[in-house]
Amino acid sequence: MNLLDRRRTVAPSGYNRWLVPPAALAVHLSIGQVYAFSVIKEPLIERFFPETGVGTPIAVIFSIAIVMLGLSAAFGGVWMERNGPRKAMVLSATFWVTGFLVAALGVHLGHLWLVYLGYGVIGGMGLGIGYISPVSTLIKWFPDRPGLATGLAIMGFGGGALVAAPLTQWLLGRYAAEPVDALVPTLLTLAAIYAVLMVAGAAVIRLPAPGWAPGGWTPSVKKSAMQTHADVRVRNAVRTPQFYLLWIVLFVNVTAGIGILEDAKPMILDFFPDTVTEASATGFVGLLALANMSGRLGWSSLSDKIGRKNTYVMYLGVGAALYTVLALAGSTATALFVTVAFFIVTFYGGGFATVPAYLKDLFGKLEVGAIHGRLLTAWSAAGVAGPVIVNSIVDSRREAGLEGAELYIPSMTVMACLLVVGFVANLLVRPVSERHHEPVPTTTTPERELVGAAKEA
Amino acid sequence: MAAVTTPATAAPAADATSEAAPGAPAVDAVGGPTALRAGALALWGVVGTLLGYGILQTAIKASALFS
Repeated sequence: MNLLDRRRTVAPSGYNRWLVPPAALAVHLSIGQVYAFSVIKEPLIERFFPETGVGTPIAVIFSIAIVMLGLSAAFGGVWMERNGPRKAMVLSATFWVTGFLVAALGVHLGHLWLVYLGYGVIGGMGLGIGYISPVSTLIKWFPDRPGLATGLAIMGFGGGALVAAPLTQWLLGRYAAEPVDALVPTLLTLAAIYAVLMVAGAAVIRLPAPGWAPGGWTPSVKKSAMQTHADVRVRNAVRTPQFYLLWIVLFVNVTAGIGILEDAKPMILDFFPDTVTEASATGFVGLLALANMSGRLGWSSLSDKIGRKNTYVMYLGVGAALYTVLALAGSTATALFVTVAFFIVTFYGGGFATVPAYLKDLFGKLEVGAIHGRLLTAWSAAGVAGPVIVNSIVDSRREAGLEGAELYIPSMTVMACLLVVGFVANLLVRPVSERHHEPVPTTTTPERELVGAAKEA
Repeated sequence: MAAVTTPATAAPAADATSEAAPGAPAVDAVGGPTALRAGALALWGVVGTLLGYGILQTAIKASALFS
C-alpha cells in the first residue's frame, strides 16, 4: 500500500487529537513565508533592475503566487479530499520547495521569468494545496470546536511571516556582504528548511477513522439554526447562494484588511510625520503581524461560542465602524490610530480563520476542504483589488497635491462602505436548502465511506 | 514497521482522544504508535519554538513603537 495513501493516514484508535495540530502548523508556518516576501523584494530589485530600481515587476511575483494560491486551492480541493492530507501535503511541499529552487536558478541566471515561474506559479500551487489540506483535516478532528481547529491551522500561516522575516533577514546578512549576493544561498536554505518541516508534517498527519467522534461528545440534537448535520458536495455547494454570499464576505474582509496592511508603514508615517520615526513605523508593521496572527486563533475560537454568523457581524460591522473612526479621527492621536488599526487587522486574520468553520456549519464536513478551496478565489480577487483600490486613490490624492492623513481618508471611507456591503451579505446567509444535502445512508460503515471516496476518485 | 495494537479503551482523557470507531485501524499505519506520538510531540516542540522565535522577534520590533 502506498505510503501516501489516504488509508495509511487513518489514526489508530485512542490517538490523541492534540497530536495533529503540529502537522498543520508545520505546513502553514512554511507556506506562510509568502507574507514575508517583502524582505527579499529589495535584493530582487537590485538584482534585476539595478539601474532603474523599479519595484512593480518584482511585486508581480507575489501577485502571481497569490492568484495561483486561489486557483490551485479551487481546483485542487476535490483532489485533496479524495486523496487525503498526506498526499496533498507532500505535493504542496514538492511545489513549494521546487518553486524556491527554480526561483534561485532564475536569480542566479538573471532570468526574471524563471522567478515568476518558480516562486509565482509553481510555489503558488504549493501554497494553495498546502493551505487547504490541514484545515480540512483539523475540522474533522475537532467537530465540537471547528473554529478553534481552523484557527490553529491558519494561525500558522500568519505566523509563517513572523518566522520567515527575521530568519531571511539573518540569512541575507550571513551569506554575503550585500543582500543581493546572498539571495541564491538564502533561497536554497529556506527551501531545505521548508522541505524538512513540511515532510515532517506530512509524516505525522492523521485523519480520524470514519465515524469517529471525540470521547464524551455527541452532536447536540438542537443545534444552531446555521449548523447542519447533513453534508453538501462541492458540486452542489457552488450552486447555492450561501456560497456566493460567503465569497462576498471573504472578499470584502480581505480587501479591507489589505487596506491597512498594504500601506501600513508609509501610512503611519504620513499620519504622524512629527512623532513617528522609521524605526517605530517598522514596529507598527510588526504589531500588525501579531494582530493578524492573534486574530486568527482568538476570534476564530470565539466563533465556537457565539456562532459564525455573529462573529462575521462583528468583523464586518465593528470593522466598518473602526474604519470610519480611523477616517474621521485617526490623525488625532497615535495611540488611537494604532489601537484601531490593530483591531481591524485582527478581524482580517479572524475572517480567514473562521470561514472554513462557517463552511463546515453550512455544508457539513464531507468536502469542506474542496469548498474552502473554491472560496479562496475570493482571496485572489481581493489580493488584486485591495492594493489597486488603495494605491490608485493614494496616488491620485498625491498628484492633487495633498499629503499626510488626507491621502488615505477616501480609501478608508471606501473600505468602510465595502465592509457594510459584506455585513449585509452576511446577514443574508441562511441555512442551505435540504435539496442540496447528500442522502443519508441507512447504515454507514467506514468501509462503505472509504469505498465511496475511492469510487469518486 | 511495528505492528502494535492500540486498545480502544486506552484513551486517557475523553476530550483529547479518539473514541473507538468501527473503522479505526487496530494497527498503526506508519511506524508504531509510540514512534508516531514521539514524532508528533517533537514536531510540537519545533513549531512551538519557531512560533516563539517569530513572536519574540516581532515583539522586539514592535516595542520600538512605544519607546
